[in-house]
Amino acid sequence: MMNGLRAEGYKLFHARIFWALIIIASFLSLAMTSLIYLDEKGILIEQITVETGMEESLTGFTMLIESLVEPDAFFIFLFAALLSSFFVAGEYTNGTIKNIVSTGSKRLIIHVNKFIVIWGATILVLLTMVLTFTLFSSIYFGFGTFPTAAEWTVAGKSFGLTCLIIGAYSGIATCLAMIARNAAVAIFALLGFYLVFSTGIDMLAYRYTIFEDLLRYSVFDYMRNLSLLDEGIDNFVSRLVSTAIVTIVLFVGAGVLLFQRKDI
Amino acid sequence: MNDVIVKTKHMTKKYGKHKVVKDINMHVQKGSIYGFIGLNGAGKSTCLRMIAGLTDVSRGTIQLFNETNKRGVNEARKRIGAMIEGPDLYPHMTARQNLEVVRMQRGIPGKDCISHTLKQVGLEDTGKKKVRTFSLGMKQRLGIAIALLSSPELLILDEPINGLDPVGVVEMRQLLKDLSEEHGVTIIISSHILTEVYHIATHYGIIHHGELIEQCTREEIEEKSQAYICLRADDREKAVTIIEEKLDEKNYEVLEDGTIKLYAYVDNPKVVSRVLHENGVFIEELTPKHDTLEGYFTRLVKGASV
Repeated sequence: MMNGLRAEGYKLFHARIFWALIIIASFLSLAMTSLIYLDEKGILIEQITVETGMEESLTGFTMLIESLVEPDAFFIFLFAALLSSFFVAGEYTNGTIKNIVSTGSKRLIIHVNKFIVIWGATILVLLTMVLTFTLFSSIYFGFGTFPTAAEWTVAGKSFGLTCLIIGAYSGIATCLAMIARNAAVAIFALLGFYLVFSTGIDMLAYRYTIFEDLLRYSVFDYMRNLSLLDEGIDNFVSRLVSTAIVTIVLFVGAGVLLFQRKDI
Repeated sequence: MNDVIVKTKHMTKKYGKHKVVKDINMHVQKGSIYGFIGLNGAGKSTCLRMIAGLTDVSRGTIQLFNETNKRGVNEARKRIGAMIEGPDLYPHMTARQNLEVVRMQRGIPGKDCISHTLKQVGLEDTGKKKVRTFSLGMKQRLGIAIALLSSPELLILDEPINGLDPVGVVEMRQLLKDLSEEHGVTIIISSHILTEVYHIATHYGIIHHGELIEQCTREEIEEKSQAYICLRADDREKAVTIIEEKLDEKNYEVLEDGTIKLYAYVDNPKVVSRVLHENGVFIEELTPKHDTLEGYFTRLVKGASV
């Protein structure tokens, strides 16, 4: 297992998509903070306002806490989708999956290794976004006051849960990318999946209770409610954790089963 | 030498109702170079893919290094190096980085094996050049290097000389011979270039329409190969008429270049020479010969298709 993980890690750090996402994440942070700064200074024209959702004054530290508590679900899913499309489906496009499978490694381990690497890589890209967001905010607005222990606790909990949800997203992305076997098809399939489960079911949930329940117990709903964590909503954390874990087990399990039956 | 490394029993592969490989009983002996020959679409690659574990067997069994159960066979695959359906490489990496991935994957200690393998296949000077800029021949060599990296006991190479230049072909032939003779590596090599397989292989398996129609040693092929007289005359049509009428022989073949292959009078070519000469045919060449692997293969395949 460790040999496979090391090899996957080596491939990740030599993969263009990983570094491209790191750069894109940094650029997005710079663009966002620049817009906020220009808005604050009144340099932007009146029609454009940047919603930060924050009541207190903007500083590097407040932005750090904010980005840890309320990360953007779509970006996270997009990062996982892009990574798995190029990293997992790309192995089929290059044919290199044959080299891995013919080594006699168990297919279960091969798939789980890929899932772990996608999971870790998505967390790294998100962390880059958080850190660059903090850095650019500090440059524009100063560091501000150091967050309190309570703020750190909420941020830590939120980030831990976000990591679990990233695991669920990575499980879905790895499974679908393995089925798609082609990077372009995988990206479309994953974005389609996101649209159906996030937006499509959200719309249907207004009319049908069954979809409301489905949405409530999907990882796509929890991300937008993550900020409720500090409001002490009952059972919210346990429901979020169990939903994420069930999603991981379900999609990684399905991925392994399909991979074991797949002709390469 | 009598140990069997690969043994398949009724190995069959079905896609839906269509059987692409039927009841293959293949025996590959330790230290041998097994030439796997067949037309395009005959089922060579499917057989090799089943042996390498890339696809499941629909029916039948595979025995690898005396392991017969599924788990044991999969474990035995760690002793195999394979290049199936062309070289599979990471185009954005260098040759060394491609080998590093395989080294880590297989848990091979030390990095010396990478330099050694690159030298073996003649790619030691590629430096930081990305694989995407490699020629087809270089990619082929790197694919073989990947298969060789773990010093496998069984090497499976599917069309390994595709894209190699003439010098590369000779070098590859020598490398495979050295691996077999000096290191005792068992090699299964599939190729549509029959003369190349003939130069390398010690054993042959001939597959046609998914069936293994012949399995034999090089010596057996030489014994079975039909002898013939290779005849070239100034007037081909007249020569053919004389063969049919005066020599009463219909077992001949006229090739596209005008050469006549006469499968009779092999022990007594003087009779042919005399009769043709007496009837005013000038003989340009008259040589007793043996069928090559190509001829033997063609006859077998034609026979199997009838």
